[in-house]
Amino acid sequence: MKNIFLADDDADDRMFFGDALKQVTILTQLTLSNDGLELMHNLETVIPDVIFLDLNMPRKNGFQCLEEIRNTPQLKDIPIVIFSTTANEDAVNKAHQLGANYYICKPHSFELLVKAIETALTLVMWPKPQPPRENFILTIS
Amino acid sequence: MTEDKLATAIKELAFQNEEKEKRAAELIIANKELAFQNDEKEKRAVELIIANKELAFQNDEKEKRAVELIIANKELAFQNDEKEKRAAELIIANKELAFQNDEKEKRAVELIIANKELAFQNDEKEKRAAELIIANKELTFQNDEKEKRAAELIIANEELLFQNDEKEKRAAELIIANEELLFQNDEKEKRSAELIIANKELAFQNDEKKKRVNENKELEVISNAVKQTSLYSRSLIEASLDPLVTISPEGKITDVNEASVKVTGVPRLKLIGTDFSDYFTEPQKAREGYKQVFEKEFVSDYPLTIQHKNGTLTDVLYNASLYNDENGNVLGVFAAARDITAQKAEELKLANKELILQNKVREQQAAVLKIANIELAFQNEEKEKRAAELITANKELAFQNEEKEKRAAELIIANKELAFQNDEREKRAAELIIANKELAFQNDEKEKRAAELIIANKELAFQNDEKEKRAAELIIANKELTFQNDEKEKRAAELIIANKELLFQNDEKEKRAAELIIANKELAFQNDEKEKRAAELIIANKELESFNYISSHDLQEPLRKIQMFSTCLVTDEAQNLSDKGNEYVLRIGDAANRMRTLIDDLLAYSRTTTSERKFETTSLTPIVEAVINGFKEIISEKNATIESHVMCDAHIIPFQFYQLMHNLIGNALKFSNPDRPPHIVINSRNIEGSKFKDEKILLNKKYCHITVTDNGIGFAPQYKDHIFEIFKRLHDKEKVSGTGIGLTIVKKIVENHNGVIKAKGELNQGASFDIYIPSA
Repeated sequence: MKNIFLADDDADDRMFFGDALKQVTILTQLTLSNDGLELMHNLETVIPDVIFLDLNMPRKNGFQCLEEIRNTPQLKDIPIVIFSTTANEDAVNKAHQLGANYYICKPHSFELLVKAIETALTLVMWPKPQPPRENFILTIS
Repeated sequence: MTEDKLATAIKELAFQNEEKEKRAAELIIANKELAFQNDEKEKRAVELIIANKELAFQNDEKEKRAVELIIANKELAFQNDEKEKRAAELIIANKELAFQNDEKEKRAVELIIANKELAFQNDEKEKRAAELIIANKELTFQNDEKEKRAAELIIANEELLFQNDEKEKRAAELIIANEELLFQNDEKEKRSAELIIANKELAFQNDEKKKRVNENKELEVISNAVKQTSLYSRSLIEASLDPLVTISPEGKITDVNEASVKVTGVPRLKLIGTDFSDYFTEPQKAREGYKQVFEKEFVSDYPLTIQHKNGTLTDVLYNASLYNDENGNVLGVFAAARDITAQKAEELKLANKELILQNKVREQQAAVLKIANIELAFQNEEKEKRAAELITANKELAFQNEEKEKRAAELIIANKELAFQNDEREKRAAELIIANKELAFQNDEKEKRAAELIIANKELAFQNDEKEKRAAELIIANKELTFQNDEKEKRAAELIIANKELLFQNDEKEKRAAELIIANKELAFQNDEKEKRAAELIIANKELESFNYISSHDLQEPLRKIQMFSTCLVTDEAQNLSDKGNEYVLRIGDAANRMRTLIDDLLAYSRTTTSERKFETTSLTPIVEAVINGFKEIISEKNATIESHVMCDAHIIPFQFYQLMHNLIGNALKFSNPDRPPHIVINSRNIEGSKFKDEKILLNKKYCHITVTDNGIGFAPQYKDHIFEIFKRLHDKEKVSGTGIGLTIVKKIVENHNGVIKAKGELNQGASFDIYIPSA
């Protein structure tokens, strides 16, 4: 059973993720956070196996969470997959620089979403260090 | 329940679609406004460029003026220097003039002194000349005197010479006379001596004559007797048929007789003195015999053989003995050889004949003696004549001696006179010497004066030269002065002109400065305006950028939801929908996809105008390859072939160029002909702008010419410009999807790169796009 955290301010995206996760073959448990603050709060009690992190969130955005997590001793090793609508080069670079493990652009098809989550989970299962920049973005097709 | 939900969902979807379409319409309007504002922005940018160019131009003008000012100032400074140099030169020239004037005055003073000295020297010269004249007169007088004396001397000398000659003649005559006298005395003495001798001899001879006469008579008798005896003896010897010979103690024949001559064949005189033994065949034997005589005082019958000259041999027996003189001294050997032959009788006859001959000879000799006696008598007569002559000669000699004494007395007188004249001559000579010394002294004085005059003249000449040099120098100095004065006036005139020009240039400068100030004020104002525009533009751009971003992002967000939901429906709820419902869902999805594409394209388009223009000169090859790589699924799907021969470098914004190639190649793939697999060719080459006629192509720039050619459905040529316009599509969206923005974006990117794009096409054959982008 893999404990998965998702932080996203969009309710629809949260719903999509949950539905897609159900289609993933791996056994998982999902904890949802509406924004960065809630995520950090949740992290105080539970250490997940992986965090899927949106970037544009109110109160505390993805970058701030990422930075904070990577600077918190008990949280710094948690695999983090950025899950964002934007494919902006600067955002991606910043995410990589701040220590995210992978970057996924939110797909616009349900099938692709399922594939993306499955790929990410497969990759982050193994305790590896941060991949190099060229492998950072997961492209799902 | 689910049906209600579906209905509401569908209603919601429809509503959302309406909303979506409203938004889309709004977007379109917004984009049009964007486009308009971008045009405005570009117009402003163009205006700015023009304004900047004008500013730049005015700055150039300003700088040119400034440069001209600098040059004018430099020239002024230079002319001021020149003016100062001329002034300094003038000062120097004036100083030199003053100095030369001093020199001139000094020379004038020196000239006056020199002239006074000259005058003095001339007086001195005249005094010397007067003295010389007097001296010369005295000299001439003395010369006359000298010549008179000389003439007198000459006469005296001539007389002396003549007298000397006479004296010498007399002396010579005397000498001759004396010699003759001496000679005659000698002769006289000789004659006297001879006379005495002759007399003595005469007397003696007379005695002798008498004796002779007597002796002759006796002699005659004796001689006759002797003669007869000797003749007789000799004749006997000669008559002897035996060779008789006398030999000296040394062995030499001293006498021979005729028989010896006959037997040897050698004449008598030749025999005498020769070695006795030579005439024998055995000389040694003969010598021995001869020695024997000396030992034993005689030898008898000693056999020898006499050899005649012609070789005839005569055998003989020798009898020899010593013979002595009166005192008993040995004189020699007398040898007689007896011829043992029978020729003796004839030899005796011969001997007798010879005896007769010898008698005749004796008689001749007696005749000769008589003649000698006659001659003696004659000589006695001659001697007496000579004695008489001698006496006369002695008388003459005495007379000549008297004459000689007279001449000697005359000579003494003449010599005394000569001596006196010599004294006189010597006195004259002494006087002459004194006169000559005085002359010589006066000549020296004259020469000294002459030398002094020469020196004085040389000094005068030298001073005249100096005077002339000074005068010449003065002339030159004056010429130079006048020249320098001219130069000074020229400089002054030039200075005046230069100053006028300076004033004029200063006025000009001030005008330019005033103009510059005005120009600068205008520039400053324009700069302010420009900065205002630039600030406005920046704000506008930022607004646009944020608007773009926000629009796209915010637009994309609901769109993504629509797509997700419709895909969810397709995935999860397909079974719950009717066929119609499923079809609706699918159509929703399609519309949502189209919207996404449109938004993406619009976003891309806006990025081409608003994003930072980071140009690089870089190779196009990797970008083209990346684009092709990005399409690899579609390429394999459609079995398409893409040839890429892109080798150029160009001055590009890399991500925009990527977008450009992506759109073109994407179009080529999208608008493929269903009858054939797509074949796309991408070429590139470098060309000069001059080779290409388009007002936007700069002639002297190098361009990279890229062509993208496909074999797709193409387009009708009349639409070659139409296709680049925004939202203009040539096909309905059912056949070929497309937003109508793709080529607009391409064209915008090409324009961003200051390039040109041209489209060519034929329906159902394919399309070709030519892009020209600057290489650098």
